[in-house]
Amino acid sequence: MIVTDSTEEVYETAPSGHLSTTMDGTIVKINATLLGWLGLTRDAVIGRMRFADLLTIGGRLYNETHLAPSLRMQGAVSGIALELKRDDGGRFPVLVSSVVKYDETGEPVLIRTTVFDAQIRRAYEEELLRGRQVAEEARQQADLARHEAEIAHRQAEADRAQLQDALSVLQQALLPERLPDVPGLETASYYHTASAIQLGGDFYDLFAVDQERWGFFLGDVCGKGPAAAAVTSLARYTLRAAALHDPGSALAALNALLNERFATGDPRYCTAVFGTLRPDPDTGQVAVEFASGGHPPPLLIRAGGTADFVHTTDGTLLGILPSGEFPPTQLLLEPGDTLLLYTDGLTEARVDEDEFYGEQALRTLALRYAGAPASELVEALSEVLTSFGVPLADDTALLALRATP
Amino acid sequence: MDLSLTTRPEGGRTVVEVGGEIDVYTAPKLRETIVSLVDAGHYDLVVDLERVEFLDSTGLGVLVGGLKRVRTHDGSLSLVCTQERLLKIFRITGLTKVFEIHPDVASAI
Repeated sequence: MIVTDSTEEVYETAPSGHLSTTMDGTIVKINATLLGWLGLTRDAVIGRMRFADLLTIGGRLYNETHLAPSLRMQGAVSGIALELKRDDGGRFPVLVSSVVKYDETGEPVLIRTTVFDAQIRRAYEEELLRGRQVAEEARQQADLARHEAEIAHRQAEADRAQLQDALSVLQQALLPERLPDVPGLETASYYHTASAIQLGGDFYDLFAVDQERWGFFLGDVCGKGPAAAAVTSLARYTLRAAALHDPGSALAALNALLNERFATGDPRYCTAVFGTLRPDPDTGQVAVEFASGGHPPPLLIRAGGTADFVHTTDGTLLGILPSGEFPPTQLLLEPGDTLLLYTDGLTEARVDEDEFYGEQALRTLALRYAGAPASELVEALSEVLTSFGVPLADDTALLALRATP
Repeated sequence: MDLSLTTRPEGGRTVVEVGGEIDVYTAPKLRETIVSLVDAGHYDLVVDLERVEFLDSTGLGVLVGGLKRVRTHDGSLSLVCTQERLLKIFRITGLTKVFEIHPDVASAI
């Protein structure tokens, strides 16, 4: 079967709107498709309405200022976006293309216009616009969120800094601000906290007992944090108060106190060396008497070039047993001799994954500083501690006491 | 840099085998293990330290705390240790007077 189509029917029911106007815009021909879009009858339109009457106010303005002049000058326009005004008051977005028909003498006689349904296109554009708005809103919200996060971050930083300040003040309160000047004695100390936000458990002090004697101690509380700091504080003040007694009694007092105080709940212990110094202004010698409560042995470095650990008759870790004996050890520092006290943060420091610094390494280094000022020895040890490949896991305290040469 | 813990009953006691490092970070795990054993009625403990690579003062505190805990139930906590490094720590801290230290699990039981 051969299918044919009539030109007239194509014009009337084409999927696009068609109309023809005279040069002043009066509509002389319009197809059914366009009438359908407008909701108008042919009779109401032909000879009665002009093209501009079909447009919204904005469309009319655009028609007069752009479309009509271009058409007159160029004879054709294409793809102009306009809005038709429907009879029911609604709007109908369209794309308009027009051509001018001229007669034999070249005079314009008609304008033929094709109107395309632009609803889908408009919807698409609106969608794009909405999409852009959504993106913009999302961007603004993200900006806001980022801003808020920044404020929160700054607050957290400030809180952290404040906490660190508070902790370092507390930490400082657990250590002497500076070591006192002791006639006939040269001193140096070093303290390293493994963590800036955890209070360390190491402590030391040097102070006058009476006209002739000076007390000193250095210790290590098992554990870290506020609970350990509480024990540190207790240990410090107990030892200071007990300094008038002999070293063994002072440690026994601290031992009994810790044992009793922390009998219930989480037990707390510490190790400590406690002693007294009696410098002799005539000979330059310093008599030392000390006792140890489970603490690593002090290192005696003679100016003459020896270094040996001074093993005490071992007292136990303080706080474990209800009572304990801490027999004193006596020694005499000749001018230039140094007694080095340290916590296990030094001897248990990791050189690398598999190796610890250890007592032998400490002794070897100390030998090189035999006869050297106390400050040089402590400085060398602190440099060794910071040179390890593995960050120090434990706190470390050093106290060097040297008879002035 | 970690702590391993296994427990098993042996000869009427409970053996806690510890491996790795007992330091300020891992010691709480050991304490929890001992506390929960005691809470469950195991008062005679043998802590095997043969595979321990590191023990600091916090670790010592946990062991002593464990000892105190079992003693309140008339129990016992003995150690198995032959490593010179660790034995030295126990000697320095005077803990050789406090703990029974055995060369192997069999003699601890």
